[in-house]
Amino acid sequence: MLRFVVRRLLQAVPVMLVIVTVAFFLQRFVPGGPFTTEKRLPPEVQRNLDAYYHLDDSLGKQYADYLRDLCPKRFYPHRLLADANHDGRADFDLKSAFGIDLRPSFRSSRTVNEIIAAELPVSLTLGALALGLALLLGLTAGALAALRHNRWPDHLGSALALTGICVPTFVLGPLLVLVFAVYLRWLNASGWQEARDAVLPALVLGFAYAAPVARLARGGLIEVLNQDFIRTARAKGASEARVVLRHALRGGLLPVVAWLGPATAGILTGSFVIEKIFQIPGLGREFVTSVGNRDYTLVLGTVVVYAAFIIVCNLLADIAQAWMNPKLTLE
Amino acid sequence: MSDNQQPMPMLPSPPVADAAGRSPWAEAWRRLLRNRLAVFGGVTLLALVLLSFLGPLFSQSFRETDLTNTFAPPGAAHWFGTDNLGRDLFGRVLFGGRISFLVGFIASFVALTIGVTYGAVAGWVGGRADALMMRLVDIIYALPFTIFVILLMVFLKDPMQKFDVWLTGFRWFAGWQGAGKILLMFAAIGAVEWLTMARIVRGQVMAVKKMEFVEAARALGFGPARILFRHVLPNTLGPIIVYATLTIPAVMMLEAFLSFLGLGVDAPMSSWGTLIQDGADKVEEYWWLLVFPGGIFSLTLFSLNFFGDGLRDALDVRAAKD
Repeated sequence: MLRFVVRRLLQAVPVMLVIVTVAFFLQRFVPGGPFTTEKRLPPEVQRNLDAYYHLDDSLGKQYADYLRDLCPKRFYPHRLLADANHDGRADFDLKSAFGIDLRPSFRSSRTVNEIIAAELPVSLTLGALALGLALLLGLTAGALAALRHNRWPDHLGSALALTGICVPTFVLGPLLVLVFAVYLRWLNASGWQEARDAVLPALVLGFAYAAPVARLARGGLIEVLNQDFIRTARAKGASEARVVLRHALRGGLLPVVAWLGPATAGILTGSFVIEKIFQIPGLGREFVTSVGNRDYTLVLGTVVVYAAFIIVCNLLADIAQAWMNPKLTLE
Repeated sequence: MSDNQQPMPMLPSPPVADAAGRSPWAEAWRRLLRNRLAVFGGVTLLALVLLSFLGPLFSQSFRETDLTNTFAPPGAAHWFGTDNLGRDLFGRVLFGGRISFLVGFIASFVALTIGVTYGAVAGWVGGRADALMMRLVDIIYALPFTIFVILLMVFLKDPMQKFDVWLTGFRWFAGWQGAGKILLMFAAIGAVEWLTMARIVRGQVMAVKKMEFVEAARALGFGPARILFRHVLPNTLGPIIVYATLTIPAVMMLEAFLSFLGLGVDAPMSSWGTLIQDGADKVEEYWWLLVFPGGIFSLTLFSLNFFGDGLRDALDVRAAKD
């Protein structure tokens, strides 16, 4: 187990390196830059800017320096949740936790570390709510469909799942805003101030991901429920609830667990759209803006954070899968 | 995900021995026609494609601005209403469909070509080369690819605009502003979507290449390229077709996603994604600007899914679903 985790984390190192390298050089080899404007900057201003951001170094040196600053130098994960600023929320400080310095942003007065610390928790909250909702809705619908196979709950569930797949979040989101915020006035159209502001975004994002959960859970459960050991359990007089909850669920949910790893990547990118629709100050919106602004360090920083997050989630999904399925070994 | 589970070869099922002696493809076609949802999907899709490609030929009203008639609600004169410049939304939706379908079909074709070739070669060659090629696919799979598509779309914007200027300099391409951006989109999306195809084709090829008729072809002295592309690949056609029909909606969704973020198709061109984005901005006052493009887009995705599912059942393909 430990060996598996360590090996996977070591495998993640070259993947991260590839990601950082591609993202770094992709930005640099293309004409234009963060200070490209209609009017040329006075040469001395340009010189100062270049010196401040080390743009006057050779590209190779800049790359090496960036990698050096990116390398984790310590490991105090609990410091992520510490509150050194005493503002009542976790600092999410990558520097004090891992010694990772993502440099100052080119377009903002804040450093990339500060931007991520302020905005990643928002995106994570949104993502976690959406994922929870997707699992709740999807598992319920999928299990109902499997237990009432080929009867109306099954058909209704499949129709709903297809709707979730075919009505994109960027259509559903504004429509729900129209109904619940503009006509009914139950919720705010956008923003992220009150707790209820999370309802619509999480609902829209969650609904989109409930669809694959429902499909996978339905398929997995139907397959398991047809197996011999389920018949045996029934023959021994186990109640239907016991058969489903104790015997079928574990195997039947395996496809869902396998899907969870890739799904986190989807939820992250899905949040680009959601954060734009609902004007949520999260990292997704920041990323899209920063790419447009050619904010070198902010783009790199967000890409690194996203990639690390996806790698960790894939790892967790694999561990959960092996835990649920004794036939799989962690290899 | 490991791929040690080799899917069974998806040969069309052997012909049923009856008087007419139908081919497996005819049999699949009959099964498809019996599936009402699939027929509905196919017919709707065909209608939408024809309308999108032929409709703008007959009416150019989507280009004509009418500043005295902006934001007209849907009515007899303008079925879908008009937009901020008084352009007919029905015509704009049809014209947008042209771009969306074009991106969907061509990017899927790009993905298909790369995926089939890569997967077929890996499965055919086998051994170390196969392990290396598939390891590469695994690595690319692990990358946050949507993020890279976004980076590509933004960073290659300027070179593509130069290409655009160069292209429209030719008399033949005079009206094609924005073509460069769309070409870029084909390439970027195609580069993402080929991975699953490569895996599916590789599994199929590995299963088929052990069959007797391949042995026979080899005994006849055919070269490897001829055997692979003329004998092995045609026998993996079922899953390829099914997966292609599932790739098209995925690609169209990605295109709309990019356009919605403002990274896709630029004015004066418009796709369903840009129309939806425009509508989403103004939905609070002018609901039709979102409801009609969004509705048509969803209808297209529904029909593609119905049709794809029907094809999968008709061709009896199980493994192509992911």
